[in-house]
This record gives sequence, C-alpha cells and structure tokens, in this order.
Amino acid sequence: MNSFTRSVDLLHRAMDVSTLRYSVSANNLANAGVPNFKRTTVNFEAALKEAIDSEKNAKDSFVLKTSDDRHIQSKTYTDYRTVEPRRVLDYATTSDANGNNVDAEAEAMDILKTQLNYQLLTQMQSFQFSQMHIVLK
Amino acid sequence: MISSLDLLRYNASTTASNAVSSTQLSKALEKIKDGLGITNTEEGKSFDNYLLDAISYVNDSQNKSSALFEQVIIDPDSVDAHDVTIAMAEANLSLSLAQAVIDRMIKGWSEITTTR
Amino acid sequence: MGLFTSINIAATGMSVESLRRDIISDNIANASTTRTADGGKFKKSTLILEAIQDDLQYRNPFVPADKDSGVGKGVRALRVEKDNSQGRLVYDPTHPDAIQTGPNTGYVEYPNVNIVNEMVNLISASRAYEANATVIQGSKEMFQSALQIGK
Repeated sequence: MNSFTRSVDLLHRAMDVSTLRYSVSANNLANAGVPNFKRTTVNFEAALKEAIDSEKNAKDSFVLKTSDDRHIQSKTYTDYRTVEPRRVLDYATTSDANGNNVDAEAEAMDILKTQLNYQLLTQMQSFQFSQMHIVLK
Repeated sequence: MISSLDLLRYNASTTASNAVSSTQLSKALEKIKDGLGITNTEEGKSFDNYLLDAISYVNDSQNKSSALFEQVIIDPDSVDAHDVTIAMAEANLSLSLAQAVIDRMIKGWSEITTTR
Repeated sequence: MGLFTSINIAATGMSVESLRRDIISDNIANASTTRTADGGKFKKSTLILEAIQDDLQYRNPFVPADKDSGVGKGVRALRVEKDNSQGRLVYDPTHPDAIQTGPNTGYVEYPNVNIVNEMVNLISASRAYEANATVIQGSKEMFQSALQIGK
C-alpha cells in the first residue's frame, strides 16, 4: 500500500469517526433535558496512534519466544485498519439534580469542533485527489 | 569467422538488452500499479497480465461507485456523503490514470511503427 | 451511519422543545383560570421526556455487541402530566367559584402556575431549541463540504 492510498484510506476512516462523533454529540444535546440520561463519547484516536506507532517500532520491538501457536505473544504490530471507534457511556461525571450529566455548552462546543475537524478532513482529501490530477494534465 | 568469444559476447549483449528493456517496462508498470494501489503482484507475470489487472481495477472502482449510487437511492440512511464522493473521486482518478497510460502507449507504438 | 442521522436526532430535539414551549404558553395563559370546561380546577401540565432507544440502556462500558442499541435516536415526549399540587388560595367569598363547604369556605383556588418558573423554563426550552438548530446547520455544512471532494 503506497502513500497515496494509505493517506486516502486513513482520511476516509477519520471522516467516518468524525461523522459518528457528530451524531453521538447531537444525541447527547437532544437529550439534555431527560432525567437520568448519561452522555456517550467516542474513543478512536488513542487506539489509532498506538497502532501507527507499533508500525514504526515493529522492526526493533520486543518479541517473546513461543513454542506453540496458542502462546500469547507480545504486541508487535497492529494494522491500523483493524482499529474501530468505540462508543463509551460516560457515567463518571457529575450530574444535575435530575440525574442528567449532559453539559449543553460543552456539548455545543464539541459539536462545533467536530464539524470543523470534518471540514478540514474533506479539504485534505480533496487536496490528495487534486494533486494527482495535476500530474495527469 | 566468428570466434566462440564473439558469439559469447553477442549472446551476452542481446540477453542483457532484452533484460534491460523488459525490466524497464515491468518497472514502469509496477509504478503504475503502485499508483493505483494494486497489490496482487507475483513474479514472472507478463506485460499483458499487468495491463489486464490495471484495467480490471479501473472497472472495479467504477462498479463500486455505481453500487454506492444505487445504495444512496434505495437506502439513504445506510451510506455517508463522504463515502460516495471519495468513491467517485477514486474512480475518476483511476480512469484518468489509465487513459493517460494508454495514450502514451499508443503514441509510443505509433512512433515505433512509423519510424523508417 | 447515514447521511441524515444527526439531522433526524436534532429534529426530534426541536419538536420536543416546541411541544414544551406550547405547554408552557398554555400554563401561562391559564394562570388565573378558576374553572375548566369539565368542571374541575385548572392544574399546570408538565412534560415527561425519555431518550429513544430500542433496548435497555446498559451502564457498563463493556457492552456486548448484540446488546448495543447503537447511537441513540434522539428524544421523545412520553406523556403530558398534570401537576396536582394545591394551588394558591385567595379569600374572596363573593367570587362565583369560591369553595362552599369544608375548611376552606370562601376561598378561591387559583392554579398552581408560578409565572417566574414558567418563564425560566421557556428560556431554557428556547435555548435548547436553538442548540438543536445549530446542530442541523452544522450537519448541512459538513455535507456540503463533503461534496467538494474531487471537484
């Protein structure tokens, strides 16, 4: 997989996660008045960073000696394409009097940030394709 | 009178030139396939296999984008906006790339055949 | 995930908030009503909301995949409840709706609507409505920028 297809694929995955995060935040905001509702967040970037770092360190990583296939191996190389976003229920933050822990202003800020992030990703994706087209002219 | 050394030298030079030209061509095709992201290479495939692989990749990406169009029409809640536009841009790009390659090949071929 | 998931979610939020606004305006308009068409006293209404979800909501983060109901689908109004607490009692024996018998003879019961509370609720309902409208606007802009890929 060369650098063009890799970066197109990575941007595509990032856009998918951004859309998911936007929908989850929209759901949190719509339920900002419901008693006993707990907000949800999406985790993806930390797992992706770990996978990409493991690619860089794959050559000189620490490999355990195993004599059977079923032995557990140390983590050497994770393909970043196997990383999926996870929705996590956030029940540890403080709540209102009616048990709802959605902070509307913070949620609105998250929504704005996600929107801008998505727009930046589309710009980067657009750049990739237009650079290739320049070569073909 | 051709000595055995001359014969050896002649054989060496022709095989070397054949090797050079075919590896150059296959390297060029490798670069094109790499650019399109095709990874199913094996050793010893011939020129027309590479060409057919490249054309089938272009065809696959066009089919993938028209399958996505169908999905947008039938079930718009199952597909994202960027899925569709990225598939369209990829199909467009791979087709433009294939067209550029074919143009160059045809131009090269006609240059060779019209040379005295 | 779809093209319009977040728009659908925000639309449920907006419709719930406009229902809340209607209930509040009904309460405020009837703040001095002493009788209703079916003979009883006027009591203020409140809105009960719940999140729309297909399955039970698990609190455990390690939810198995088949129990997960996905991204929620927004909010819906469960029912409109009447708040049956005692209203204000004002002593006015000449009023046609004064209570005739019992410990409160001569008192008129006005509705249990507190105008200040209702105004605060109205402000928070309109703030939530605008927040949902901003979500829809943002989703529309994201969609338009996705269309620019490959142009």
